[in-house]
Amino acid sequence: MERIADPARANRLARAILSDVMLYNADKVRAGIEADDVFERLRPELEEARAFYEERVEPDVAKRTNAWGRALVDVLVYRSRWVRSRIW
Amino acid sequence: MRDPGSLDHYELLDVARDASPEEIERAYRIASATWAEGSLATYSLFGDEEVGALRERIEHAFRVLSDADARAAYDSGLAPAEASEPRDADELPFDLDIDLSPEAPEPRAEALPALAGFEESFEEEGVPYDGQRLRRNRLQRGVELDQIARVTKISPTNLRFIEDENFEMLPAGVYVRGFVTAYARALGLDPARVAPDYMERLEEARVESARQGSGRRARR
Repeated sequence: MERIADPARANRLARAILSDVMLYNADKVRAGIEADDVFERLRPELEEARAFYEERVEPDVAKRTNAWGRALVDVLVYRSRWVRSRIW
Repeated sequence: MRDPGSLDHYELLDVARDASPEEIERAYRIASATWAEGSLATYSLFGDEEVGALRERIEHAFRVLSDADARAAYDSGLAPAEASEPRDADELPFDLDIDLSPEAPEPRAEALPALAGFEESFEEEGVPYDGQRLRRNRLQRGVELDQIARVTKISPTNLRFIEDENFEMLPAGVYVRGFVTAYARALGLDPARVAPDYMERLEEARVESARQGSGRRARR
């Protein structure tokens, strides 16, 4: 399988994967945002998701763009902004 | 295409003639949710009048089949030949506003990102299209489930049921075929390859589920 070398595509992949993580773990994400421990609470799911991402993206692109990190914030955190939390 | 008026109550709810009250209620709940007012599930594929008429028919079918006396009276009026008439799985019971045939152009493909120039190297030659493969294809294209929902007007819930192969919760096969065809087209996959593979899995699972249901009833 050819790995993704285009940063824009890597970014979309990261967002799509994390969108699924949210979809499949909605209650857990909400609880994690409320308690401000979302990354800890979702550690196994996020590790699995990141492995899926890294398998498909050129290592150099993954490292250089930090698409994963940005998608974590954009998708997992920003889309939970309606949840009451001391984060905000 | 078959007119909905020609479907009997059992066909409309997609249950067998000997379905138990529980099976009828479950089928009714699924049909009602699928066609509920405001539901995204194929809603925009049909005119308001068609959907309204279908909802009324579903309600009526359930009222009859959930009442033992009314059901017996209804059954006695059904022609035996009609009882064994198979439904054509390739047909949707309504005329769609959009053309989902494999030969149709693909106006939606441009609405999704990451499709242009997407390498076929992600294709898994010889592997049947199941829910997992559909999901992998979607993720590899960087497409979120909500994006598919917006493009196809199929509810995210039903899309997730398709990917998870949650066949129990999906509506009748004729509708699922339409969902899967639209899903495949939205992703730039060949619906003529995807839909038969997926429908075969769905039909096998439902036959097995029906067989187990009959076994349970026989043991009672």
